[in-house]
Amino acid sequence: MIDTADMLTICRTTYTRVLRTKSLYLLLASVLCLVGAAHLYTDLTCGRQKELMYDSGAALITLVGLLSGLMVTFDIARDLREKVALVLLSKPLGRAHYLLGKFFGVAYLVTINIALVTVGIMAILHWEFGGWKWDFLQVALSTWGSMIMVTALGVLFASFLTELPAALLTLVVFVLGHSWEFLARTGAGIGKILFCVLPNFCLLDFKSELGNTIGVSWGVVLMAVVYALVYSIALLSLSTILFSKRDLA
Amino acid sequence: MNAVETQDLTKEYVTGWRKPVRLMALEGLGLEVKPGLIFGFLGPNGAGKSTTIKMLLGLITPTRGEGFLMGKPIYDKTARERVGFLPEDPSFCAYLSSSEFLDLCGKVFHMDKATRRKRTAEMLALVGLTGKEKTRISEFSRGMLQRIGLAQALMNNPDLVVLDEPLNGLDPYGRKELKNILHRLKREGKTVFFSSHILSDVQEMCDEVGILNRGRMIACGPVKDLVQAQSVKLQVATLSMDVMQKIEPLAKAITREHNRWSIELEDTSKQAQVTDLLREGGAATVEVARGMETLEEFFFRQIARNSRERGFPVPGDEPAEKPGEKIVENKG
Amino acid sequence: MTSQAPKAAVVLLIISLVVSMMLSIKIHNGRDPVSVKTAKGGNSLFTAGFQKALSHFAWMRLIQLRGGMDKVTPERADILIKKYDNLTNLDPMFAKAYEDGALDIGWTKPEKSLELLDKAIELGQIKSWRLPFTAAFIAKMRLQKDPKNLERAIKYIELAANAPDRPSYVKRFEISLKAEVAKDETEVLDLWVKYYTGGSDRFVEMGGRGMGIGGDMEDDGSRRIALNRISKISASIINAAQTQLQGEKDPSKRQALEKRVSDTRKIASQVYGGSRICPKCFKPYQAGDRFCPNDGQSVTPYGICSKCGEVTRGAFCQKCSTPVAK
Repeated sequence: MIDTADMLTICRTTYTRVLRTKSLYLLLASVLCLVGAAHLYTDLTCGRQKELMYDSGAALITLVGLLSGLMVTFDIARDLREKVALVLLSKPLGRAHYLLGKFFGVAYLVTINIALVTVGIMAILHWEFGGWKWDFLQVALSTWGSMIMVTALGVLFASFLTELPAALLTLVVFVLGHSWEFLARTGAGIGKILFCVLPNFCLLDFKSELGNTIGVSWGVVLMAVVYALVYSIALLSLSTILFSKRDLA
Repeated sequence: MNAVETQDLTKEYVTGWRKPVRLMALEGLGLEVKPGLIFGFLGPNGAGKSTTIKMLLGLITPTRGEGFLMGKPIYDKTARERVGFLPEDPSFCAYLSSSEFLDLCGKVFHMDKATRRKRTAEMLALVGLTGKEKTRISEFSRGMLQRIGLAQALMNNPDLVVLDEPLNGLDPYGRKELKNILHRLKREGKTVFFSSHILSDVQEMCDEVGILNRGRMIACGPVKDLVQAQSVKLQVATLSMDVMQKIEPLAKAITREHNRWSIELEDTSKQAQVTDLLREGGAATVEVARGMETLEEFFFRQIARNSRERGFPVPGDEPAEKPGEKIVENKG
Repeated sequence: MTSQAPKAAVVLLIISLVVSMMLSIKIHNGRDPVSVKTAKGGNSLFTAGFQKALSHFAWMRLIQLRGGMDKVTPERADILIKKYDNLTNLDPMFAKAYEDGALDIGWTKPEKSLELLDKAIELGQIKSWRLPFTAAFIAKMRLQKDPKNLERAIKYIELAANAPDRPSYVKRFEISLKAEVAKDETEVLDLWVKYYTGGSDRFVEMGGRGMGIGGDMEDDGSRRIALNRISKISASIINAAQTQLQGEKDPSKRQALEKRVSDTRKIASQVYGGSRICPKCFKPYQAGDRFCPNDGQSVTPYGICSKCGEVTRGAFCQKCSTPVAK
């Protein structure tokens, strides 16, 4: 049903395109510099530099992943504006293949960037404090899951909106998606249904727990990642439906 | 099997949320384009040309009606396997070089690497971009963009080439080259379906044209059948005053040129009546010259007539000056 | 786009949504709700999971703010209260922020200071003894005029005393607070004896990790301090009982007082592991001592060989091997 060759073609092109974005390299370099320089903050933090490095590392992984993931909204919208999408979709290329190709291209970039920053931060933590912080991998993995969801959200919004509204809406949902915890605590059934149906980023946020050395089991982290992947499939399915109805004027 | 066929193809847009406004972009289009022809699709801005093309290529969903490309329904993506398309004012993948972009198009058509390489070189040579293989598309001029656009449209050696305003942005040399390419495609038995505003080129190139006005097809057929003989000039050696007086109300002008009388008629319908009068008066007709209408004149005439019939303002008409009203030039 | 594709997408959408709903419930149940609530804090609406990182920036700004204040006036205390509240909302597990915040504003706004510490204590996730100890200290020092606050201080100090890794002075502070509300000295003595016999050896010594208030208290070691207190209180109880005995005629009351004296003696003696103790100050004296080294009171000597007069600590004289009475 899904022609993987078509999808891979779009995936590779998308990856090539986003990879040529110079600002991304600057961001990666600044992230590592910022974390690396955190040991200079010993006096500023009254001895909390270890926590600072861990938490800012976790936050910066999120930031890098978020910016990489959001690129999909700009990429699809730019394709439509510059009529690249018209050219490609006027050929025997399915719209679903096009969207999935875009998603996988950006998801690949997200994966590479998160992996790079994770390795960098873990190396810095090891260099500064000795020993390997293996629980940081839990942070990185769960962040990767949430960024895959952000990318799928970006695809969804870009399938019917222009770049800026799509990017802003993705960002808003990402921010609000961290606050749905209260819905689960409400006794009402509707609250719980919303908690399950809405994109729930708080299920993937282990930064605070791990930062406070409250242990999280690998089972829960892996389940959260599976949740992110399954929810991304739902988002991509919805994107495909919406995009198939869209008039590409 | 027609190259392009539509039946009652209609597109209605609904805009606005609180107070929806309906806009009929295309209304019941029925069209048949036979294979091997160059078909010109004409109409003023907003007539529905691009909408039709995009519906044919599956980019826009029709509100109702059907369309077929090379016998296959337009919603079937395999229908586009034998079609090449150049959109209006394209910018393409600016981050790719021309050869990379053509390679990408080849991949979408599932061509193998060797074929892609061969076709890329051929297409770049065809559109005169040999030597620009490594140049990024972002560095291309508007004319070069049209060329690379044409190259990608022809990458799969299509049976039907759909071009939306292909002459836009081309210099006279570019236009000439494009016309040559289109004629060559015709010779190879391919169908070319294109929209344009440059009517002189359309008249020169096209076998058939279709004219759209405000979403409706108002004229369609072979160019030679559509454009009419509009005026007639009769030349006679002698012309008596008596005959002249009889002819004068029917003629636009009667002049004497080099010992011949020249009678200009505005309408060919009066030619028989004038000829009869001349014959009766003993004046022998030396020469009959017919003034042919251009496609542009035909286009304007049809658009004006259709607009008036449907109660729309005629495009390009200046607002009439009311009696006693003076246009005051604003010198501020 | 073929007409079949959206149908497949609809089916996939429904299946994936149902699976994701099931997973979300499972993950939610799999996580410790208290930990989640504790770790993420109260104002996570617009923090997008960055609250922990943001707390560091808030902390650094707060340090700068504190550094710029030479004195914490009530107005400045209000600013600090707000800042500390925000900071601890961002990172509710930030124990140092609660402690520093409480001490910063404790002098000017003790009630607010205790509110900040209450916020941390109510979480139940911060295992540090320092927060309830600080709360008890502020409640005792700043709000002692009201007896209710003494009870409040006891409540805090009980939490601190039961926390793991707390130093021994926390327990002593608990006893001293409880002593203030005790009915009589016997109850206080009982508290000290319980503390002492509870095994002071297992308590963590200060080791210089104190907050500056406990350094002197710990100099002699917690065991010695406890013994001193037991001695002092025993002496006080016995002296008081003996004074009462002199004027008491009622036989039943006399009997009760005599019992108190003998019980207290017994307790004091037991505490000293059966060592001879001075009848006045209730501190032990060494073998061979004829006077109490503490107060010079004449005491019954022991550990002197009846044969050669050698002082010995063993059961037999080191010199002549004669059995020596303990």
